[in-house]
Amino acid sequence: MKRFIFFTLLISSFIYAETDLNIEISSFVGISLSNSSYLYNENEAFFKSKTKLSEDINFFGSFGINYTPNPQSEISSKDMLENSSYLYPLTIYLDEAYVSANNFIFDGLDFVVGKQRISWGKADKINPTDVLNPEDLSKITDLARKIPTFAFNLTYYFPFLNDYGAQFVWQPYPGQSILPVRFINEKLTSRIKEKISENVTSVDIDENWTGEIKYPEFNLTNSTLAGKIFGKAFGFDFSINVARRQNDIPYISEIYLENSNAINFPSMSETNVTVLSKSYKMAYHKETEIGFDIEKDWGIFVNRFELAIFIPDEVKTTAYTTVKTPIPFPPSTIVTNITNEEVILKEPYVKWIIGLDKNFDGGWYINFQIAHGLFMERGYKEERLQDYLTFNIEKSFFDDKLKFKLFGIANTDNFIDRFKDSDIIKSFIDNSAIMGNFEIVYSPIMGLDFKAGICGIDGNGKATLASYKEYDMIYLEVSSSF
Amino acid sequence: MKKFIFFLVITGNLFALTGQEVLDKVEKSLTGFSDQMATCEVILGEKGSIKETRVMKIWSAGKNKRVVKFVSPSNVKDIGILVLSDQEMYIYLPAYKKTRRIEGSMKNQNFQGTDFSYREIGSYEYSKDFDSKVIKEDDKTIQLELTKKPDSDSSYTKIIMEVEKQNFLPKKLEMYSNNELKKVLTIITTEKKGNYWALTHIKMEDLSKNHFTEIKMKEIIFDSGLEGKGIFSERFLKSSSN
Repeated sequence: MKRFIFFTLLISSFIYAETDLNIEISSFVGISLSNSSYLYNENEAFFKSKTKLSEDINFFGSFGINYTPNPQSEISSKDMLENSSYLYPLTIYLDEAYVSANNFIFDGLDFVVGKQRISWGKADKINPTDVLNPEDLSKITDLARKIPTFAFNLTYYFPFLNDYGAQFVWQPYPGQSILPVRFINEKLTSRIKEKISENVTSVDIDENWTGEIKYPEFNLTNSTLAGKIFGKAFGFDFSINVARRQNDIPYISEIYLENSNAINFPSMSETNVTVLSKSYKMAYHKETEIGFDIEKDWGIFVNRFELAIFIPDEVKTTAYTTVKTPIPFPPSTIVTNITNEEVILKEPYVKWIIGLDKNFDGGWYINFQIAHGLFMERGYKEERLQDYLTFNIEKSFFDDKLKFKLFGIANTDNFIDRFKDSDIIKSFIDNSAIMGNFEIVYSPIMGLDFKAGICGIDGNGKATLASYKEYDMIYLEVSSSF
Repeated sequence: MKKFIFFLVITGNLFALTGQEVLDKVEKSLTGFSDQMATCEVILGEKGSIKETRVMKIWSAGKNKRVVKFVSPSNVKDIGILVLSDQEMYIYLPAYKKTRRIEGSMKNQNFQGTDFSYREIGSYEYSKDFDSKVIKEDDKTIQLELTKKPDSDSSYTKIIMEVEKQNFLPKKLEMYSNNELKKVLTIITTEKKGNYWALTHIKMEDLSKNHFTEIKMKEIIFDSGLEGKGIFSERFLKSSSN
């Protein structure tokens, strides 16, 4: 009964208040160029509403519906017949829901509370200082997707100092990023293989790991606190921020391996290792981030720079290995249990990005950015910081109805290290990756876009983008907003 | 009598306004108020037929400061620009909840699919970029030729402006780039609101695209102390309460 009264009141408040509704629908199909499989088949709809509750108070709500059919070749008949989610894999979720109040309590204080996307960082789409919005790395053509989180967000604009202010954010629950998990398996496999290979002849290990994840406990000590001061000086827009949080990307806290060592007796010249079983546990770690960003219009282009220093709490990975070594005389198996502990994060590391963009007459737009450290990179071994050059060139025709876009990323596994090698060109080829994305966008009317594109990725070594090599694809997308 | 007529001709010429003076009067009549706030219906059309209708709000003060925000349709709602000076422009993109600085040189580009450039939307400042001279005059109108100053970054090299003598409001502007007529701005209706004149219905035609944009101003409020209310700030641009 109470619920009924609550919803009746809520709905009636929307009816009598001034409400705007907006619906966004998109459908994206990506087809692999190598085997014609569907790499993506995403269908999404967002229902957004904004309700003016008073002159200074607004309510925003956004529900998302995601339909991603992913038929599996082998499903039990029981599941297929009884579980409708196999046939209709729908996800309905609350995207954003928050109340925003201007001049809250006193003039100059704005307050936003609820599940929200918070703007943090001035660079274009890639923001190293943005530690408040977990990343959604599930779509290769849009690696700038962020996940709204629940937060109390206060901004105070100083009186008499136009556009100077301070912002304070408290996120009671730490957010988590959406990650391409197979890359974790791939990198872990490579890390284990590298480690074992030091003393043995061969290692037989695949990338099929089983994993568990331990989410941070929901308590006050695991919440995120962030503060920022922003303003303008000498034509520069700037902000300085500090945050204490749980990193939204998990690290591997424990590794469990069971190996069989085949030793060539009696010479003992060869040791061949077969990994019989393997699993890992993941957890989240705490860190402090200190960052700043600046933005400046130089008259001919706009320049943005963003830098973040991350100071992680000490993070360790413990590996528990059971080694089974059969010996011929007398026929038996020696079982050895080994525990190794390795500090994987302790030292501070710095991520930065510098970029410029410019619009030209005739519908041309260019954007260049150079970045050190992106995505899941955290400064240690497989997660070490890499270097990126991104560019985006766009040309519009027919009053923006038709647009050609060329987007690319050149990625190298540490630019400076390449110059330390004797053959610099070979070193670059062996440790770099490139991505090229050409897209045609046709917008016959405002709010309706048809996109067709081709995306190609190639690379070698440990360059982060090289892991996406299988994502060469052509894609089609239709999106509408009304 | 001949002497009297001669005297009249001489004094008449002496008191005739120069091109710059006419232009100053035009600018004064269009921006004489300390600030202005208006809701506008924006009609986009092609080859004579209407394609789309939007609603936007404009807040302006002086010759430079402006905030323009779309109110409808819902897919462009809350997109806005803030102009603080020639070199300080911001755009707010509600999808990213982000205010981005845009380069000053972008001011010559079309504003959100309309035929008005960022420089032209809600602004009537010409003397900064153009020298003016009178090329034609009759009982009711003065025709000015505005020629681009050497240090100007305007995309037009010449503007022919027809001005009504009665109130020094422009009637029609023809914008040229290298002697090619690019756009025509026609003032369809004007209205006196209190002490000030307002261009309540204007039409910009882009001749190369055969495209037009009409702006019909409604609910115009003058001198409401916008600067003191913090309207020309990033905070207001981002705010969803207006």
